Parts: sequence; C-alpha cells; structure tokens
Amino acid sequence: MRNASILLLSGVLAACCARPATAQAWLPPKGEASLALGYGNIFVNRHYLGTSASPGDNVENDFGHIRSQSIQIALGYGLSDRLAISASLPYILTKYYGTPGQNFFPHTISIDDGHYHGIFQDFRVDLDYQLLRDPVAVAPFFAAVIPSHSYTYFAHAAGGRALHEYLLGSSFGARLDQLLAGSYVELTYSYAFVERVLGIHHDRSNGFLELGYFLTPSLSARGIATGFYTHGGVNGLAADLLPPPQIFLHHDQIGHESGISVGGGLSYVLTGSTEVYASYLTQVQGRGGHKIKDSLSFGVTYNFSPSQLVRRFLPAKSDKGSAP
Amino acid sequence: MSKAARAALGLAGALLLSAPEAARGLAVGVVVPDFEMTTLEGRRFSLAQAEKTHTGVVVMFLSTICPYSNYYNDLIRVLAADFGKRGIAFVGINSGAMESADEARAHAREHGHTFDIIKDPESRIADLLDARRTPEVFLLDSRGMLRYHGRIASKISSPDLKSAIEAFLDGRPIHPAETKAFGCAIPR
Repeated sequence: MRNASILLLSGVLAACCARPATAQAWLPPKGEASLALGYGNIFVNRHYLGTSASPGDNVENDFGHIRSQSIQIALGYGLSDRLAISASLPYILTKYYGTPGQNFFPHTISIDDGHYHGIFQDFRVDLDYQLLRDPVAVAPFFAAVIPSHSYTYFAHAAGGRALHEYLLGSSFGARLDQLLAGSYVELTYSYAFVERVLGIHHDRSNGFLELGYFLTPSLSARGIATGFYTHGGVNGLAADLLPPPQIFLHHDQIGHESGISVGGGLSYVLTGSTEVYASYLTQVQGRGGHKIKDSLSFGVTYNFSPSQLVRRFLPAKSDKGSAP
Repeated sequence: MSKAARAALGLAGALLLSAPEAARGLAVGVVVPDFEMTTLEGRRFSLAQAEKTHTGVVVMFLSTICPYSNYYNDLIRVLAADFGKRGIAFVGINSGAMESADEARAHAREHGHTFDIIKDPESRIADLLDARRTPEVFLLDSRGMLRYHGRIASKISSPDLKSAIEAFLDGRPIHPAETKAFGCAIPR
C-alpha cells in the first residue's frame, strides 16, 4: 500500500469560501459597494480512489486527512442597476496529516509534513448582468479565475490547482410565496473552461441549488446542494498503480472528478448595512478526488455607498432646505 | 463534524438568533408624533392634516445619492400614483445636510416624483421617527398609528411596502408589519 502515497489527490480546492450563498440572482443597485470577509474550514477525511484489488473512482479510502482553513476578502460594486462586478482573493492554510504506516502517504515535497502551509490562492473576478428581475430573476455571468502567483499544486497540502479558468454561467432566482410565504429558490449553473494541462481537456460544470425561507424578515434559513462534473480529464487511476510520470505530476489538476454536497445555512441582516451568514456542507457523492466530510463557512458582508462616503468628505454646498 | 466546527456553528447560530429583530425605533401600533414643515415646492405640509384627509400616509426617508434609495425611484413613483387613487398620501423626507434642497428638487423632477418632499436639513423628522436609513418607510393610518415600518422591498424583490398597503386597505393583518430597512445611514 506504500504506492498509495503517489496518487492521493492533493489540494483542497473548490468549496472554500464560496460567495455568500444568497441573492446571486438578484444583483445590487447601481452605486452599491460591498466588502465581504469570509472564513472557511474544510475537512477531507477520505479519497475517492480505488486500488487494483478494489478498483473504482467512487471507492472511498482513508489515505490521510486534509484540513484547510481560509480567509477570503471580496469587493463588489454595482456598475449599473443591471451590471455588477466583484473580485475576491482567498488566503488558504492547508495541512495534510495522518498516521505513518496507516494513512499518511506524503508526496516527496516539503509541505506534506503534517503542518499548515499558507498561500494566496486565485483571484476571481465576476461580471454579472441582471437580465430579468421579476417575477424570475436571471443573472448571467462571466468569471475569470487567475492564480495569484506560481504555487505548488503537486502536494496533498496544495492550496489550489494553479490553473486559469474562465466561467460562463447564469443564476436564476424566484420567490416561492405562492407555495410557502417567505420562501425562494435559487439555481446557478456555470461551465468552466479550464486551462489545459499536457493538452488534456478537463473543463468542468458547476451547479448550485438553494431553497431558502425567511424565518423573520431579517433571518433566513436555507438548504443548499452543490455539484460539479469534470468533462474529460484523466480517470482510471488507482492508488497502487503508477501512471506515467508526466501524468502523475499533474494528476491533481486533471483528474476526472465529480461530486455532490448538501447542507444548509443561515443569513441574518445584522444592521441596515451588514449581513452575516454561516453555512455547512458535507459531500454525499463523489468520483475521483477528495471526500469533503465537513465544510463550514462564516462571513460578514458590509454594504456601503462610495458616493455617500465621498460626500461626507467633500460636502456639497448646503442650503437651508424647507423652512420648518 | 469536528467539535470545533460544532462549537463555532452553535455560537454563530446563537448570535444570529439572539439578535433582536428591531433593536430601536417606533414600535408598530404607537401613534407617530406630528410634524409640520414646508415642502420643496413651498407648500405647508402637516402630518396630522394629511392623516385626517387620507386613509393612510406613507412617510418615506429618501436620498438623492444613496444607491438603495435610488433603486426604488421608479417603484415609489408608481406606488404613489396607484395608491394615491385609493386614499394613500405619500411624503418623502430628505434628511441631513449632505444633500441640498436644490439637489432633492432636481432629483424629484428627474424621476417624476410629484408627491410632497420635505428637506429636513437638521434631521429633526428623522430624529422624531427614529429613522436611520434610506430608504426607510412608515405607513400610518388616519389616526397616526404606525401600521408598517421598514423597507420598501427585500433584496429578493419581496414587495413588503406594497403588500403592507394592500393589506391595510383591505383590512387584513399586515405581515410582516416590521422589517429591517437596508440602505444608507441618514447623516446626523
């Protein structure tokens, strides 16, 4: 089983610090800015990776654990009542650990040493367009994922895939008041054009479904399901069979993977400009890659008007207004 | 889930659930104090008089530069026109010294706001009603009693003000009668 170390998939990737999972189909008004700070904590306890004796990319094995903690900062701005832009960058701390001889098979690089290692991962820039708002909200978007620098991707404790991605997708949202007052549904699909590695095509489909209910006008609870599917990529991997060296070096980037996670969350309008949220997800199905047992995220979003801030510092000429 | 994760989630839940829904402001059901000021067009506006002559009055705290407030420019014009025919008076308040009366006047003309608008440079009316945000609305009945307070609509387009006025006019209970206004701070 020693050879298992070489094929264990590396970085903790996708689920970190997702955008606050509310109202992606409903874009902000013109001139609204938002500053979001999120924390993510992901625990991987198994790999979807078989062996030659028990083959299959849906076979779960314990080849070590990965804990990832991340902080993400995101800025958003409503360019118009229909067009919004946002940008984010996470800082990720990841460690790979286990018991030597049992479930600890580090790659031969220094960061798989049982300790946390941190990197600034990938910039993400989103451009969203509000095509429709009522009765069904439709917001197609384009996003670019750009690695912030050249970082290690060949490690269990790698912070990311270090690949450029360009996503095209759309969010759809609707209130479900006729079924249950205060409820809504939101659905997002995107297709990611992922940078090819070794000439191998490995694009990805991403899906997101949210069913929400406002317990009070300020507090909402939601059920969440997310999924992804790699189009192409390399499959047929087994923990104790070596692929060609050039594939092995990039196996975490180009694996043929899929997964479904489910969970829930809460959002609360804390003040007239600040929202907080918390969510939890666990992976219930997968092929290839990691099994995310727990994915917990918290965040706070502060909304503000830059034009008001400017006006505060550069006040307009005042007048007496209406006479009392 | 790990113990730390459970503890963190529990703490977050407790914080979320323990936060009061409406920490301050006039409570629904109280009689709102009267005020009287001159509108941007030079007319004298008395809240008590408007209450007497209408089925209800909607007091809206608005801004010319706040994105959240401006987002509803078209909607409030339509609401004021539609519900005006059914006996609901709308009055806009532009509080604070950050925006001038000239700006408010030009903004109203630009967006076709024909309802009364009052410039409240010292935020006296905002203080009187304890309004904190733009947009923030108060629906009063003919006795001056507060029937709905909060936002015009939610971020997912739930038409809270419109629903409240319709329920009020139909004699139905207003639910929710109080929402948290989300928007720009009214300068004090």
